[in-house]
Amino acid sequence: MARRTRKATSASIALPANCSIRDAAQLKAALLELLPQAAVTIDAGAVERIDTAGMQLLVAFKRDRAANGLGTDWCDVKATLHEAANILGLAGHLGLPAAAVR
Amino acid sequence: MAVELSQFHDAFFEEAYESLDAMEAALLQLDVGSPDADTVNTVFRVAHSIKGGAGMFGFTEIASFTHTLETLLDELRGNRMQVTSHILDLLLKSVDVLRGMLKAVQKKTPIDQQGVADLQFDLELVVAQKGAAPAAPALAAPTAAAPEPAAVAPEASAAAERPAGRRWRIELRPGAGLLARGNDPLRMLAELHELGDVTVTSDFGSLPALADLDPEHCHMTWSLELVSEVDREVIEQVFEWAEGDCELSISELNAAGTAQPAAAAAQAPAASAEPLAAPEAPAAPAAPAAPAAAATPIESARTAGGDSSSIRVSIEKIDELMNTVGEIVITQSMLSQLGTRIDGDVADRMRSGLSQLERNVRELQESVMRVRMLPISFVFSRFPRLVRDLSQRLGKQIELKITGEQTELDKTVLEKIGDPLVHLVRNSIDHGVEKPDVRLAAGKGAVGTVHLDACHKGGSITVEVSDDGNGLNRERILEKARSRGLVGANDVLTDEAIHDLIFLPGFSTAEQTTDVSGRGVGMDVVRRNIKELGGAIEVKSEPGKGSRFIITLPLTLAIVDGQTVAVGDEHYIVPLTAIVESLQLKPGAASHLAGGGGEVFSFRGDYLPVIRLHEVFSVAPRNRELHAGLVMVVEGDGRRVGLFVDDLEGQQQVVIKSMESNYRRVEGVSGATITGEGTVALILDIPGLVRVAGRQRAAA
Amino acid sequence: MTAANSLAKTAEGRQAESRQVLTFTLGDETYGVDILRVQEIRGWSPVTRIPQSPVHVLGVLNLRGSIVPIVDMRVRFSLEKAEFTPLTVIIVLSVKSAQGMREFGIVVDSVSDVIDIEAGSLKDAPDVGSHASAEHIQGLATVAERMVILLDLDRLMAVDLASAEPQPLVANG
Repeated sequence: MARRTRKATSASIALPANCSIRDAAQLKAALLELLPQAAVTIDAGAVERIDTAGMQLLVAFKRDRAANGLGTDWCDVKATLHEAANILGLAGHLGLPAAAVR
Repeated sequence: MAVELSQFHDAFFEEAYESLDAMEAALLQLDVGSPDADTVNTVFRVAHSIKGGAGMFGFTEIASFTHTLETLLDELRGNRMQVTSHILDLLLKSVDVLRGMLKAVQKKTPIDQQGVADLQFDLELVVAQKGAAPAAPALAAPTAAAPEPAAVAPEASAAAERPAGRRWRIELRPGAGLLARGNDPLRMLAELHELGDVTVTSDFGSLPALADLDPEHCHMTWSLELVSEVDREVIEQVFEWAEGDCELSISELNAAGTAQPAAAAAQAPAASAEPLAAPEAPAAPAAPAAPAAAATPIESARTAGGDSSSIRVSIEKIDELMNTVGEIVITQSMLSQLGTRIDGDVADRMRSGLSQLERNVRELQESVMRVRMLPISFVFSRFPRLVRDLSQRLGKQIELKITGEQTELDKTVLEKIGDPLVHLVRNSIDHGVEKPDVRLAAGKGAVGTVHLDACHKGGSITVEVSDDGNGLNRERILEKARSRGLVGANDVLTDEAIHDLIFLPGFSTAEQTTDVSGRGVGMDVVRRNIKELGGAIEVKSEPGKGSRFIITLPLTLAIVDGQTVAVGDEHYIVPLTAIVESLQLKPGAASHLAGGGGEVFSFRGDYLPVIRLHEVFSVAPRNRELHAGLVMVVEGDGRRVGLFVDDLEGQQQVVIKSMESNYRRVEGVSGATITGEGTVALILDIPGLVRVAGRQRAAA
Repeated sequence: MTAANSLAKTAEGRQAESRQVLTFTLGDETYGVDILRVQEIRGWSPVTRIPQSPVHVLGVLNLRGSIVPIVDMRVRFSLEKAEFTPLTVIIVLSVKSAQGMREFGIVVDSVSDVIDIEAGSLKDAPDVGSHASAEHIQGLATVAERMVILLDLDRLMAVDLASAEPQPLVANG
């Protein structure tokens, strides 16, 4: 399960190691809760597995927030996530930081 | 690439084995001379999908072999070659070889290279010799000229040599169920990336708001451009497993970037339809389920429900579930017993709640039990091949009739009934059905029938193997039994009793394997296997008209209907199937045999030995006088004995637990169960008990 | 490293620094078993006898749905048989056998406490004339001037689990 910490105006979410379809419902619930937060940082440091279902949730999250003028930041994005984003052509849409780790 | 493929190996093997079963079934339906076009197509698709999967996982030997096989099948499908019985044999052999290769790869043991190479050579040879063969007659139903570029790809690629870097446009629109079935676009696109340079554009215009999004559905689509040397076929293979779950279009771009008909179109006019205009995926690679569905009625019934509404679950998980439900049953019966002791205003409500719980628990138990049930077609489906091969070898003409193949029974029972059935069917072909000339002389049709049937009867399953052959030879059996001392020289036996002799150990001997009329080779083994499953077998036979072997099996091995008996302070459970009758002997009804031979009593004209349970299990009994307790006539290993116990108690269904999971096998005990009080009661194994008693008597 | 981790690491083998052992008494001897092998400690309840079993195998019990054999350690070690009272204790242990992990209950006089045994203080078992034979002893330790006999459970139970045939060799308690 994803861990969440909340401050008054900004929040962060640490993605779990497994962001696959298996736990997609939980990830969705966690992201939904954060949706209205003014600023959100997604900590992707623990991600070991991610599939299309997981990527799709992140895309929807990022897009829905952007539609409301809310920003989403990333931290600790590792190769697994970069690679998945590149393969699916989603890197730009997710606003991932430049792929330093390659 | 970070994508781990090995996790999909198991799925590949499982699907591949199923596909091969479907292929074998389809081949067996194939008539030499007038092959059905659909069936040929089915076989082709199975070979193609195995090839694709094998290629994807890097099982090169399998991929190479299936490629050769596919080439031959493509010739047959394209009506350029005729299906001869030689080719049919080669194709059936290919199924066996493929099974062997899969097994070897799965178990990481060496592949039988020589066998594979030999067959591959034979397959190539018949294709090479096709020019020598006369032109094939039209297929029974000409193939609809489907746009199937993959089929002609081998020739096409040779003819349409291109400069380096063909450009392909691929449009992928996943269907709703794609992700849920384990087909991850990420994996497929990752594979495309390995084929060459990929430019990917994702489109999530139809991606709903996060709140409304079904996380298990894929709402995105992709448009890709691949620059690579590869043929269309290779690209199709990437998406092979997603077939039916997505819309896919693949087209080749010319230098200007506009879509052109596929390269193959030049050779195959049918494929000249603009690929992009047809949103459906190309027809070539079918998902593994599809060929199975087309193959035989058996297969289709199995896979029809498997489309979108079924999942694969490991048997361990189901067993775990079974165990937990077993616990609930025990807890519930414990509560019910407590409930009877409650007084006061809540008592009624408590009791009605408890009886509601009892109903629900029973339903739950039945539902879980049903999960373990599989149609017997899993076993029956291996017989068409067996009948075909064996009858050919013996020069007999036999039609196999299969009915009731949807009858379900427990997976464990199913696994163990296969060998006895093979034995019976083999016997029917070998010794039952006569050769055509003999049949004609006897006024029967030249073609004999072997009939496999299964049906529900009450709480058990009846499986029948029958034939319209010569029947059992009564005189021969009797003669043989007398010569082996199994029957006295002057004993008069009913037909039934004579037929039953074939199940006796020692009746069959090796010389009989070649003795046409002497049926009964290994019949004792068949009976023993069936008894071990808690079942029974009987035979009915009419001279000249045939014989029927009728097997009765329990629905499941997890539960047994039992009679609780008391001996001293101990309680044991006797399976109802073993009980013939319970009776109270009159004083003096039993007599001692001379020379320490033990006690016997008369039952329906036979003298049965008495086994005192308290002696065998060294328990202090309440009664030592036979007339003070009860004698239960039980049957084990075809022998009847009188089991002396103190008293009979209730009858109930009990959940069987193994003694071996923490302890070890105990002779005379088949398992244990947990009673409503939470204590353990042992379930008796009657044949084992008879053996122990015999040994104890001999030692005394 | 967490405590649980270090425990798990030192659970097997003597070269580890220290291990925790559950001690119990049988007559006037104190025995110990590795704490990680202990599944539960429960009071005595009547068992169901199993035929064709050695005399020290009292019978089987239902433990959360498993059928678990119960061994009387007094009989096993040829001590005088004791009365079973509600105070009699069964220690449920897991043992490794050729067939995998098994659960087994042993009946003992009383459970004492959990002690730490330094690896260095563990001595090889000479044939000290304890009731347990040397092959079933992992080692001896002296704790608070008490000698604790550390049992090798896997070897001790192997003989009961191995064969379907009755084992007469230990039946003369």
